[in-house]
Amino acid sequence: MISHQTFLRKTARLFITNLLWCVIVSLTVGFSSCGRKPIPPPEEVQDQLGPVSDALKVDLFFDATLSMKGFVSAQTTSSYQRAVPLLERGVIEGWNGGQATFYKFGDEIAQLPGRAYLEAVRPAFYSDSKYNKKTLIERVIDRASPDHLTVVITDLFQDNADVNQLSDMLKQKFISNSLSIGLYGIRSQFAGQVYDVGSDNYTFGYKSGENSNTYRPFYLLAFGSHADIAHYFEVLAANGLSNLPESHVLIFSRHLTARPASFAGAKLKSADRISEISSSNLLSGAYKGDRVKAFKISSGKPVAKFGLELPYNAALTNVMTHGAELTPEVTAWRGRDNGAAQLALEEDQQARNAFQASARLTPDQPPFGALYIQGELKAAELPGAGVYRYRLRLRPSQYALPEWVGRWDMREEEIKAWHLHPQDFDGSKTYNLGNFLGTLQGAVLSTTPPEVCDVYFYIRVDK
Amino acid sequence: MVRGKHVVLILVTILIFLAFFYGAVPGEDQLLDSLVTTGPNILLDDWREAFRFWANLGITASLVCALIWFALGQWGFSLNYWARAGRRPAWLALLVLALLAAVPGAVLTPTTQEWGRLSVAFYVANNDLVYYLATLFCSPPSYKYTPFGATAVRHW
Repeated sequence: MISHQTFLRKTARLFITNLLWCVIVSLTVGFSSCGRKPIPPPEEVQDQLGPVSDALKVDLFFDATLSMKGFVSAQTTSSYQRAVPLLERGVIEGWNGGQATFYKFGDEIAQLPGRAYLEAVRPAFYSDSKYNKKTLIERVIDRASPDHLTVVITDLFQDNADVNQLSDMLKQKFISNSLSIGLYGIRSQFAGQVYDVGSDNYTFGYKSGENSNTYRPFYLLAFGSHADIAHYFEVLAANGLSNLPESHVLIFSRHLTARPASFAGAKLKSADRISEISSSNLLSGAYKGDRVKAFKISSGKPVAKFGLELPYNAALTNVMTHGAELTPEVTAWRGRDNGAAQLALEEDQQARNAFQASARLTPDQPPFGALYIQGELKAAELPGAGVYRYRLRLRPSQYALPEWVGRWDMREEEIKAWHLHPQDFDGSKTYNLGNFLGTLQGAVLSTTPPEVCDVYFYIRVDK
Repeated sequence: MVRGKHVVLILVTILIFLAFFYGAVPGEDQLLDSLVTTGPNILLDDWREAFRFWANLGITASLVCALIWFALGQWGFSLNYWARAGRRPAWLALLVLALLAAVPGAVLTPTTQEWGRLSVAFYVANNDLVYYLATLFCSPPSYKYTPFGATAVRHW
């Protein structure tokens, strides 16, 4: 039997030998995560649709020119006449403490006291020579307050010069300030004269008859926040405007979705030479958002690819019509160790060039239900190992005006034919409607192009 | 004195297990983190968690086998001379049992695109080594030469 001391000495040696073996194992494989610094999470600047205002002042401007008189001169109560009383009710029901102020405009603008606006359902309202010559909507725009909701009730008859001037003013005053423009088009019975038709300013007499397809359109043209416009139109529709023969809503806005598509509920459909990892591996702090996917590419992988499917469930109604193809805008950063506790972000063009993305909505036609993103990172072309951040913003590639705009649009060549045969005049169309709406759409797209997705990829690349 | 020696041997057995639990398995986990590509169906973090779970379960099973061996050798078997004791089959059976503990991990660890099978090699090696090292260094004195190679290292 060995002595107690010898036994303890040998046991200690044995323990140290074993411990050493385990340390060797650990060191051999390497604790590669030791010393890894986190990288800042994305800035939480979300391009979300704002809420409906708690209380709102609504300014409503009636077009008091002679062209509007036909809407109140038909034998029956016209859709226009039925819509007028609803305008104030829409404000009262839409907002607690909502305040509606009415005006009439033409050559000049005048406030309508009390409930004088209800006179708009009578022909005499349009007989005041001080107001009934020219539809100067630009004066209304000039006067409109951006923090109010402004609604113009008009037949929207404008020549090319009017369209350009109006669109430019709307762009300056509303679109460039992230405000929206809404249009509620409604067909109504009509019996009267239509003035200033076409570039030669012809005048035609028109009786819509009883067929709703031949009714003449009038419009509620609204300027304000997207949420307020949409809410006002919804309340009006619920109060009876949607029961009128044919009506359409279109809102020109930087918002196509209530919130951009995110990774909430997203699925990684394919991954080649790349692993998804928890974002907490790379990000500093406790990131709670759903706009980040984190990946890891092991060393020796020259190209990695992934495919993601995101739910597309926040699309807004009555917004600009767009196709399924999306245009990606990619920004890339590389994490730089400048001695601080976390890596500093440095925009990196080489990293940007190494990443290719494509995206589209599905199905091919609206309503869209999902968004597919394909990403390919050429790791071999990156400036080195480390952590990279990519921001991917997606915007629709193609837009089109809704189908009804084409049906409601009066074209110049038709006017020339009608001048020769006035009895053929089709007053169910609006001169320059397509041009006006197309110009407005172009102004929105050039000033505040809508995004449908804004997400980040954080990618750790081992080399 | 004798009872104290047994306690020390058991403690060292547990220390060998702990060295794997806190040293080898986390080290292997890090190596796999740098090698494995999971593909689309699972987060790498979740895959690694599965690996750690099955690896730790495997070495725990091996620890239990080593302790069973110790208990059998100390209190279960009767012995006059170790070379004629004929207990190597029992030791080998427990070694096989420890290795079999790697099977659930090998089957149930999610598949990956690359390097995932290395986890099976780690399960087998870990289970094998925990049992072998524990019995090599900490078998009861009566059976200290039963494990292969023990005659070269057991000089106490």
